[in-house]
Amino acid sequence: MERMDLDANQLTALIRKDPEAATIQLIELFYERVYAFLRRLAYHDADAADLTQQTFSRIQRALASFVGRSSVTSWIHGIAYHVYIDWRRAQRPTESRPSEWWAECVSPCSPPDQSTAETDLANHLFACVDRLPPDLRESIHLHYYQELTLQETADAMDVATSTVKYRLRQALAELQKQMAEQRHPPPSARLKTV
Amino acid sequence: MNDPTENDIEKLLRNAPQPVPPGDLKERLIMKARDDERRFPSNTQISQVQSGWLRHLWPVLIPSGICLFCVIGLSVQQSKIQSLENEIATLRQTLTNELNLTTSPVNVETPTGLATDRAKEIAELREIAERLKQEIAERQKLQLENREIQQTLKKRSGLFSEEIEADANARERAQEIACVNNMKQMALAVLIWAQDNESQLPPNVICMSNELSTTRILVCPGDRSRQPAPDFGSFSMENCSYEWFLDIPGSIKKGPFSMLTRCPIHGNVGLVDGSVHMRIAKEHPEWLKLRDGKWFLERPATQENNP
Repeated sequence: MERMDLDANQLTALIRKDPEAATIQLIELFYERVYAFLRRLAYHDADAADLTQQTFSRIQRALASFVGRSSVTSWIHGIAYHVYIDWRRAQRPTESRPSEWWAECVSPCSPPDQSTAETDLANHLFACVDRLPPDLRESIHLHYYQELTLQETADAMDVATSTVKYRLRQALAELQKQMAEQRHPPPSARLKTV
Repeated sequence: MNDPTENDIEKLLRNAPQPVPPGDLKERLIMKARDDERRFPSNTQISQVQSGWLRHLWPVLIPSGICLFCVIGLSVQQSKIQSLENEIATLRQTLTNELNLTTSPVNVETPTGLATDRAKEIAELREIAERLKQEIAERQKLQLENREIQQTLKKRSGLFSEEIEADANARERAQEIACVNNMKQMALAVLIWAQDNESQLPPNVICMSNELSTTRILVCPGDRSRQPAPDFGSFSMENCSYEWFLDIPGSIKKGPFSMLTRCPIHGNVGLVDGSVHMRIAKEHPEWLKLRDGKWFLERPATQENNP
């Protein structure tokens, strides 16, 4: 994905000059990333679109309070993250995402010669990420999927950088374990399948 | 294919597919933003102005607020202290006035809270002292009358004054010897009890009821204020004139000069070894020494050679 970040100073200057123009510029720069982030966390396109709209409404209301202590990316992701948390608390979704969902998403980075086995492995890994506990899952989303730095992830989640590091390490260990189990199921699991 | 390493997993995660937003989402968002801006045009500007003003002034406002709070607190406390001092001064003044009125010779400076209580106590103590003085005067008067009566009685009996004095001295001497005799018997009883109880001192007087022949020996002949108990069943320390030093249990072998009994009237001292020393407590109280909670008779070296 193409990165078009806005400097915090530029944004504050733009807010003072023309708040509406600042909002529109933020939408143009970030709506795809915010939608992708929320689409991966929520399960439906409609929900993701609604959440994106709520996020930008909240951004517009909070423009005056932006003082440039964090980067624009982490500020916007923080708002999106809190919008999602509020929505999750209100909705309590119980529906699990099917593993095939990831196959429907077209990765722009996937090379054309990628084998089916690798694609299956990737889809299985993404499904494993969805099964992680919320804190670990959301850290993975922000740091790896949204390509935020550790500091930006920490700012967005309102936690310390060390906490983000710890969560990511835990998440990777858990994913590795789940992947290994999938490839070499324990004897009891094998017996059950038989 | 091998298990994916941590690097492989990180690489796969970084290359995760990107969900594509619906085509009209951007337009919808922009429209809504414009609509909101039209509906609430001044919201951003006002808060921007407020935040700018606060942002510039907060480093000054916070310390000045804290200082103002401290100054207010200090002034309130100062005024409270002042009012309390005034109150104390007025109370002290009233107290001194009262004391001057009630007990004019005494001029005591006391703390405010305890002043009235102390004044009352002083007044009560004065009353008691007056009463005691009156009692002493009455007793002295009675003693004088008693002496006069005794002299008249002796005159009627036909004895001379030298004979009367000699008679009194002889009677006193006899009482003293009877006292020594009592103490000897008591010491003997202690020794007998100790012989039967592994050389230990008896814990009290009652337990020596078998060794003591009668309760009469426990009352000094010179002690008019006590009566001997009819038997050991009704005996209490009220029926005993002598001071016993049995309350600290210990072996009788510990020291022969350890004090066992003492007569408060004649000053005779009985020791653990059974000996009785006349008038020691009266004439030489400095010979009695307290060591490790026990009294010992320690005569000077010159006296030890000539007991």
